[in-house]
Amino acid sequence: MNIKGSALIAVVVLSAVGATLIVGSLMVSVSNYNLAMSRSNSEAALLLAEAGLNEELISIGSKTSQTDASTWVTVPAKTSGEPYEGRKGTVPGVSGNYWVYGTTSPTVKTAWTGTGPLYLVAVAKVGGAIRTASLEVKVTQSAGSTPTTSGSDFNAIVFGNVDTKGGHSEGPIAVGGNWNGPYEINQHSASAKIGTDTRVGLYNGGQITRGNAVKKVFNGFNAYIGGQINCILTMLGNGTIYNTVGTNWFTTEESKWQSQSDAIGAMTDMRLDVSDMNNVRMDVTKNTLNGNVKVYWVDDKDLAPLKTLDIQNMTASDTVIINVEGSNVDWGWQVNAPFKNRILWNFQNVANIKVANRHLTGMMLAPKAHVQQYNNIQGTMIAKRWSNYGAPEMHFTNFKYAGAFAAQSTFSTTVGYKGNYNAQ
Amino acid sequence: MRNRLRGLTLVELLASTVIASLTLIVGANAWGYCMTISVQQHQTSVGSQLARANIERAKVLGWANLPLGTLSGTTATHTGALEYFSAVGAPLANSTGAIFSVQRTVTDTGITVSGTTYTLNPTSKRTVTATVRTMSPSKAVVSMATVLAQDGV
Repeated sequence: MNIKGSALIAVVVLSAVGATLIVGSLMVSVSNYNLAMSRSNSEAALLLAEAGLNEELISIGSKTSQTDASTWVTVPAKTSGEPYEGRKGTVPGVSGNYWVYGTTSPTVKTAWTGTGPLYLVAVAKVGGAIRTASLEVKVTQSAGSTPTTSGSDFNAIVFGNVDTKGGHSEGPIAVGGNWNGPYEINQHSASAKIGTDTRVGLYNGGQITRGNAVKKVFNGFNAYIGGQINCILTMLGNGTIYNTVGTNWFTTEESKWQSQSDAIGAMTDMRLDVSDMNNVRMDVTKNTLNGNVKVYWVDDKDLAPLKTLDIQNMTASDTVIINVEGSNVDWGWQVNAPFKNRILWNFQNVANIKVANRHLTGMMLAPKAHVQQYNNIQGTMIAKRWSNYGAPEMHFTNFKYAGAFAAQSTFSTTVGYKGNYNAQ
Repeated sequence: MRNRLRGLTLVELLASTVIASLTLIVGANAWGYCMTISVQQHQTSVGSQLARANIERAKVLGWANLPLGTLSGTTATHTGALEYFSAVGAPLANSTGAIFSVQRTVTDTGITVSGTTYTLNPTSKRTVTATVRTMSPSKAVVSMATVLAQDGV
């Protein structure tokens, strides 16, 4: 047997096998390392993008004394030589950059004009990792008016038309427009005062209508009807019907309540944590922004899921105010609180409120809203229009502010995170 | 027998030895590099999670509740205590057996200075940095940072 050259061949083969194994291990190790670096850079890039969003919020906050709001925000335009739109920045300690701008929608790049929705978008690059983050901004402006501490002795004031299918109110009602449909008014003993008359049960600027529909005013309280009476109006307890209504009363009331709503909406407020899927806990001792007036805010969408709001540690000296952002509310919250007549929901710019799934507890200040009521409202309602379905009730809780508001600054603007955070 | 081994020449033996030696030398170096890069990969993976977790905890604590720092001109810096972690990122009470340490610094700018103290105002910027180091040798493996605003994310 000739084995000439076999040792060399054996060594070459073994070397080749060894080299293959080592090269394979090397490739796996390098690949794993690159993957780890990529993940690390990706995490760092997301934090950098969030830093860009927060830096832009701070930048906006520092410019709000400028009256032209459109100048507050970085426009979505590219600077020459830059890969992305917006202002370039970085954070010390991070080897990367972010580019941030403001826009009217997270999906388009349109400069903000100073009004309407405002979104911030930040793109960050660390190593080869690129991350994007966006959020909606809450901008609140105030002309510096301080809210007054007056409540209302009406159970409901509606500036426009009303359409009811039935139901009753415990307290008096004022309607600026026409009221179509049956209703039972002022079943309890508290009446309203207008001028020198302290026994007002119904104050209606327009017509009361709908054929044979019956409206009843209870307890001998008086009714003031500015328009025609085209339905049956029964005065239980022999109250008097007057065919006069003060010409400017509703205009004055609407202006007053709108101003009140605007002034409250401009106060410094704290976002209510609604992250729990079942319960929302509000510990009022943790809100120290306005003394005993505890001002919070929520988004309109936050109110839709069926949840319980527990207002905790509220004392007789506290007033709880919740500003509601957005334009459409589908009410879904049950409210537990030791002082339900010191809770005010401020629907400053809300256009539609549907109260169907749960009772609404607290004063409803909604001067621009059409309220569609299927369920009880446990408090005073101030609204633009009102429709009810079935026979829901209006309970009079005699809302009161527990104390005075601190004077608000002559001009204030607050800027902060509103919602719709998105990261990619 | 003698005839069978006639093919194992000196040249063949030398060539085989050289090839085997080169393979072993290169292989040993490559293996060493593999080990080094695997260790770095592990440090980067665990370190980035520790850094991210540290910054997330700072975000949960919130802009208003992070500790104030030591003032220097118009900037203030707070350097947090060292936190210790095992090789898999489990927290430890002290440095005994620790493989990683994490330190958070909070740098405040845009603040309202009053003498030797300062307060935050609505446009103050709080830069949070988390640096992860190996214990022995002491070497920074990952550093991450972000900026917090009063009503930001």
